[in-house]
Amino acid sequence: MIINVIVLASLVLAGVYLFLWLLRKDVRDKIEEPKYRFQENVERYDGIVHSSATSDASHVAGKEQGNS
Amino acid sequence: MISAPSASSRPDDLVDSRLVFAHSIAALVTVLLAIVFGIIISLQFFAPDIAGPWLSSAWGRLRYAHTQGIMLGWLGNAFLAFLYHAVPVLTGRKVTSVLLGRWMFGLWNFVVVLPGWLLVLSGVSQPVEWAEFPLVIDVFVIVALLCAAIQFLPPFFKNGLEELYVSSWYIIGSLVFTLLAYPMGNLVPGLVSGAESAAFTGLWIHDAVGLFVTPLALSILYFVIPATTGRPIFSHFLSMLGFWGLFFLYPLNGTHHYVFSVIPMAAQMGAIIASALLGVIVVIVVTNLLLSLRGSGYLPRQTSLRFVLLSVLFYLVVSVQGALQAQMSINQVVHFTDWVIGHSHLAMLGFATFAGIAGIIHAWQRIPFARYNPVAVDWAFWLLTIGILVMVIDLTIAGLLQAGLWQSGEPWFESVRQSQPYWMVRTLSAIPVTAGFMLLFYGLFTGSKNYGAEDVTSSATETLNGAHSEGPTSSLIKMSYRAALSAALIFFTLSILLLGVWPGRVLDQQISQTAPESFFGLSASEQRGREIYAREGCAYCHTQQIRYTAEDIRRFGAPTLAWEGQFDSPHMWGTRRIGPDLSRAGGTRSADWQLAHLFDPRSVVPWSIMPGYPAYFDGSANQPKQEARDLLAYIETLGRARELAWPDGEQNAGASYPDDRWVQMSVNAALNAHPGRARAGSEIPDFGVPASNDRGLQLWQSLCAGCHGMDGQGDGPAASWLEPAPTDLSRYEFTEGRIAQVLWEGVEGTAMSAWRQLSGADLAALVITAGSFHAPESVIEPEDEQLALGESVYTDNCVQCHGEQGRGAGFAALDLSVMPSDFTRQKPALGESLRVLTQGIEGTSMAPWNDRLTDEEMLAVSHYLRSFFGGGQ
Repeated sequence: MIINVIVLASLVLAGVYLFLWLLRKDVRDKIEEPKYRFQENVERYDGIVHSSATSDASHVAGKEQGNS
Repeated sequence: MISAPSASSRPDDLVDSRLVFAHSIAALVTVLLAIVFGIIISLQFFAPDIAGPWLSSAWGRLRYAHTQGIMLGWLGNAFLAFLYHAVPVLTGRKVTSVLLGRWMFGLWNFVVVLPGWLLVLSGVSQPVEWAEFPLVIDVFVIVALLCAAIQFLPPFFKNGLEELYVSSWYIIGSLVFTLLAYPMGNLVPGLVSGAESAAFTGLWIHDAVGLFVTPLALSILYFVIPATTGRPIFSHFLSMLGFWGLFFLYPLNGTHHYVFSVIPMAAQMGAIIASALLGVIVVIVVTNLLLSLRGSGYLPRQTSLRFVLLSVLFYLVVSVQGALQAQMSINQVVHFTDWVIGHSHLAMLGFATFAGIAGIIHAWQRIPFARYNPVAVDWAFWLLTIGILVMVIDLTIAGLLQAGLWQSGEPWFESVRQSQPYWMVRTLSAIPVTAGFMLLFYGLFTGSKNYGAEDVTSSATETLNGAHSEGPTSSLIKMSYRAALSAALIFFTLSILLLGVWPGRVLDQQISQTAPESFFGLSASEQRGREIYAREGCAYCHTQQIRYTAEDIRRFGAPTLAWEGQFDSPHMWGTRRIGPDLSRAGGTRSADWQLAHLFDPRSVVPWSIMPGYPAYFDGSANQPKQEARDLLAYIETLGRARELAWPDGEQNAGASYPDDRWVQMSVNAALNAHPGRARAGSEIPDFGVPASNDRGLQLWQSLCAGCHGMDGQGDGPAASWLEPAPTDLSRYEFTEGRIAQVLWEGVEGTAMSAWRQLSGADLAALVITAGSFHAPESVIEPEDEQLALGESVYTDNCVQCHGEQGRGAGFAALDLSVMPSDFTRQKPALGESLRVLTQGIEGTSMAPWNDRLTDEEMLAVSHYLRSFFGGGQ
């Protein structure tokens, strides 16, 4: 049955992928790279969120001080 | 990549927080409404009338609204809220258009979810699981999915494939494959019929979970873990291995929803193998996720991570459970039980919901104007965890209990009766779930505005563990990703061809070789009845497929052949049995019983939890409106075609496929094994030693009192709707043999069904109980002249039907719809006999005789026929 062929093909593809990952460091590094890029993106964005929140808070505090 | 933060940079420059906000609110509102629908329907499992007649009748419609509300209303909105935050962060680019986002919000909530709910609640729906919204709504869902693809996909494709993080892959995969799978699952089942229709439904049920819900939930998990811990995931390699594995294998799983069905066994086996392998892939995914959570502790500090952790664990359990229950030995036992309902709740309300909440919390904490109350959200976590765990454990145990009872051959009502405490616990588990969602709602609208941002910073300052690989872009990686992407698309297409189209061709061939030459379609009334059956969700509790298992064959009869459903479009096979299978329901009960059952189910089946449909009647079961007549007409068609084709049809089918084990299994089985079907002339077994008197009384109250009344006087709640009326047992003296015969065979032409599903001990106990209602009377013995007159009257007027010996076997008896009384085995009280002679018996051929016989003659013949009792004068 061809479904079995598909399942086998999936296993073969996974095996090839694993083999490449084991044998070639450049492939290994390249495959892992997106997680570091994502980490950078997240931290940058969270930095924007944090700095925006901080500036908003100081803006509000300044306004309150001015009012008093 | 996101540009470095500067004094002028604001979160809204990249992420449109208003859309995150709006979809989060819509998600929480819709989930609360969907839960309310769920609570109402769950209450009826142990208190069927608690919701009042109108709401009770809407059970099926509410069930439609519940599942579609969870999938499209809750999860759809939660995922969209997350996507509006995640896609810009993942790609460093804005989504395509904020204006499109506003239109999409309106489209999703006010053109899809809300009208979809209103339509299914008003009876406009399609009876396909996880695709219950009608076709007009499906069109708008497809438009919305297309808009989502336009909105979210372009930012990804501006970067190279090898740059994509695993969450991006899951988002892309989900958007593309849902767009492909949704039309297949929602439109095709209505275009094809019977088993082929079921094959496509099976595909969709799994694709809805595997290609829509799971990828987006996993994209959240892979996003929130590193974003919250401040550490990259453990292995991007494993995550990609899992991603491709899931997208290759998920579409191939669909047919495992119909194991032991008539769908070609090769397709079933393929789905079973794919399911097992999928379990392995999920273990890889979960291992990677848990390793990515390392260091966060068993109970992470951040609530979003707690939701993530539970979601990962739920994912592991539900996936292993899914792989196991696809295996034939387990599937044979637990399929159709509450085990499966527990499984689906664990998937949708456990794994996907916890991931969805984690995504909402993560995105919400970064909305500049949003408040956040960590205490309330933490309480929400605990309440939801308790609620889900109790619900799933409870339903799993209930499923095992039901499986055991079905396997043991106990009467059907036992599984309903013994499940009730579990169903009660299931409803109670909704209390913490509802409270959890309400607290989550509260937690997102109270507390500090900046709490989220502070929380973000504190986690993000953790050490970044790892360094960039600055090597050149590997064309090998690009090529492998492209190959995998192509393979996934090819495999998806193949899944449709192999599990949908190819089985359809095989089934067509089988139909052409096994179907009878002439096949009655449905009349206009029957077709209308089918539409009512569909819109009221009857298929949620009553399957219409007898599986190729010994248990199903014993209980229901011959397994369903492909040709039996060749005009059923879409099919109504069902995936759960609260009530019995109805494949062979036609002709098993009298029309008046069916109408009484539809009007007030508990009047004839005291343990039934079926909703009544009094709106289809003019105030009484014997005053049905056209809808009730149509529904009855449809029920009478179930199994009709196969019965009409019998026995030639069976022989032809068997001869066409002499080597096909499954076809042979079907044609060699008793066609209709319905234990309640009246069957005269069968051999009555020795019931053996009776169970206790208490058991007999309990059975009487559970099974008989609805018609015969608690005291056997023929005055039960349903009595006035039945013709002939139930026998007043106090007015007759029966031999034990006659009672045993009636219990074993039923009485054809009346509402008295057989009770062959009861054990011998129970039947023997019922014989004693039924006989005990007879009230002896003192009768003045007749004089010889009176008996002679009675004999003369009997010979002239009664012998044609009742026979010379009073055995109910006169020459005209066989032509009558209800066999005449056998006076050798049942002796009416004198008054009862006179009443019958005066009034006749409605619903039988026994006419009133008071216009033809004098009072003296009627008294004489009453005395005379009593003399037959016991076998002679």
